[in-house]
Amino acid sequence: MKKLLAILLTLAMAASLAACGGSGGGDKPASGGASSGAAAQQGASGTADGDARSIIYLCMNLGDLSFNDLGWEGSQNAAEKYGWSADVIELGKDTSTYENAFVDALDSGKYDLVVTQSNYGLSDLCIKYAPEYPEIDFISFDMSATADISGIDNLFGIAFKQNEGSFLAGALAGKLTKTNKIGAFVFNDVPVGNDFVTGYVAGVREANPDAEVSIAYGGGTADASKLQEVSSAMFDSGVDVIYGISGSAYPGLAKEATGRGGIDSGLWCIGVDSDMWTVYKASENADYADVIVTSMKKNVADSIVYTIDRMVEGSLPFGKVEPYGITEGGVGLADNEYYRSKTPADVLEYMDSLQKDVVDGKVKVPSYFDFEDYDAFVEWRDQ
Amino acid sequence: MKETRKIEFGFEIFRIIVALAIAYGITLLCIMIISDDPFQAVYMFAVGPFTSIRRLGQLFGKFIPYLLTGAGMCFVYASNRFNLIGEGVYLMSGCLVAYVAVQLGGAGIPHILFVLLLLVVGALTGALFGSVPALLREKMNINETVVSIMMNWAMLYLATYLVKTKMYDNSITYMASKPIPQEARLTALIPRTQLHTGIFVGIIAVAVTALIFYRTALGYDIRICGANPKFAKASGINMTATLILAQVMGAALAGLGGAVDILGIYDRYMWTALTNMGFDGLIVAVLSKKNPVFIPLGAFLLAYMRTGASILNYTTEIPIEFVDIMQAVIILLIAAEHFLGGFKEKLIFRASKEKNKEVA
Repeated sequence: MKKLLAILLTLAMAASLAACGGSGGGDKPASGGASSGAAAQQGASGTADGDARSIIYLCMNLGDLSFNDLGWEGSQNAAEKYGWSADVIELGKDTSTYENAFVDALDSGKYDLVVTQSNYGLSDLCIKYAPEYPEIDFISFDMSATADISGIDNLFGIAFKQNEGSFLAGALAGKLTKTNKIGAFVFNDVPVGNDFVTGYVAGVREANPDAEVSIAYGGGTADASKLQEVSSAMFDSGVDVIYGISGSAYPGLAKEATGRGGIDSGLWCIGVDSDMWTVYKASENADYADVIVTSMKKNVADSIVYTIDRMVEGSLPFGKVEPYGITEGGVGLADNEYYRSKTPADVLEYMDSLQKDVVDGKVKVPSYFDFEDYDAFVEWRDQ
Repeated sequence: MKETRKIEFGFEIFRIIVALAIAYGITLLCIMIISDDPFQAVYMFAVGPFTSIRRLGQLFGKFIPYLLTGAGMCFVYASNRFNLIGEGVYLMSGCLVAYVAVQLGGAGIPHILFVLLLLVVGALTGALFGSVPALLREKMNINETVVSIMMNWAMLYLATYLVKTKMYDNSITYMASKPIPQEARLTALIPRTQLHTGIFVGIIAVAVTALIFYRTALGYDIRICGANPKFAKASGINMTATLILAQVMGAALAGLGGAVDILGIYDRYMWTALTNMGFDGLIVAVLSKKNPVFIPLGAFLLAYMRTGASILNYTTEIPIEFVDIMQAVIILLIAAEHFLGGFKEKLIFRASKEKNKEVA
């Protein structure tokens, strides 16, 4: 009797889990569906070169409100624009299965355009398999500009110049600070994160050589309470501008700064990845928006669409990793009304001319990927 | 007595089949509920691993390290120590093996020698780190579970630190080592699959483990220390030495598993989170009931399940989180020791009753 009860309970539990799973499954942007519906409509007005393509987007897990999701958004937007179809494969945490899933997708014959991030060896897989599948085109974003893929004429790499955008963020912070103490929080001590830091520190040194920058690292998880703790400690120590390089943990920083009176009390925040003032204004945390003077945008979604635009035009230089900086719209400060209204006029003027100098190449922004090794970077950062 | 053993053996197989049937029943029911195309999903989950050579290769890619971590955890589990160090040393030895491989790459060491050297590095790393919780447990009576779990995290961060500072590669944006040189990698037995020569290492390790368990005094000592410590002590077995040795050998095998996995499947060392392979090794040891002879079966079963789940994930729209839940249901039922236990006792009881009748 007891055993029967136990089995029944197990079944009930499994069924309820199934129900949860079901609704979760609904959220998952199912393949084709919406986008191919749009495809049919737009097909007529479609593209110059007519033939429809089929995109497969591979990433670790959707739902991070950041990098993974933005890549999928870009793939979907491009598919919708040209009336193509787009599918996503979430590879999960077990990196040993990535290669099989990747080759399986290539062999399925369903796809002729692969869009991936570079993380967890995905860019290596593109480099390895692109030559074997000449009929499929590959786009890998967030690669390192120093990677050499010449000769692979169906692979294009996008490298974001997060150092360039962060340089402007740093210069702004250097001009805004009254205490000459500036902070930054980085999601994790990884190469991309440190490229943000490199640009930021260089920007501060450019605009305000007297200012001192303190940098805190997270553990790679979306931990808003940790960021709140860190920013609380930073504000206590006199820091008055913080650059929060972690989209998913950002509410922690915004909350702490809002609680302390925000910009009216002389505390400034700089957002990351998307135009956070606009995003927060439209969300349920609208009151957090007012501490975010501007954001360093890393336009993953737009850059994918831009890349596919060039591919359709036939002007995409395959076999090359191209850095997308301010000029290409890959990165840049969010130039919204709030930024224009809150920033002092002389600082705005300085920022505009500095941005022009960076675009023109008059100011050279250092990159993490230029350092000999990690120790050289640490030495430069802490000098 | 012989009768009882026969019943126990037959029953064990019966039990696993029933558990599998129930677990798969529940799983399939769940798939039916959440999937738009349940037949495709069920097919991919159950038959997916056998639908192409490469998918079968993926199954072997998991099977090979499971042989090694399974054998390793068998040592630990048979000595009745709940030492989870296998998880951390798997990762740590993968890291150090990759480091040595990158450093010595291009030095012109012949392939076989190079691989053997790296495997030794992997096993030694395992033994070295594995000896810490074992020594603390047997010499100072500090709980091995706590020490090993804490050390797992310490090793994860140590490995991450090494990757960051010693294996810097500025041609990639994520955290990983430089590419492992071609001459250090285990060659694929079937091209473009994950079935690599590491399988021989796995088979030899399992065979040696079985020999030690059932053909040497050490194996006997380990089993007795695990099964009945008081009896072991009373019969004058050197328990401290035996238990330390068992745990260190277990950790060495787990380290070997990490080395084989890195050299067999990966292009770079890129584990920045615990791999779960050590814990999976414990599941294999539990499935095979501390008997090394059954390790290939347990390893195959787990590899089959993990691969089916992975294929289900990337060929259908079922979310990966749900796939993980389904695996947990199956493993839970198979590993439940007392599942159908009453039935077994009844069988044994009836058999002995009949025997008594015959005698009378």
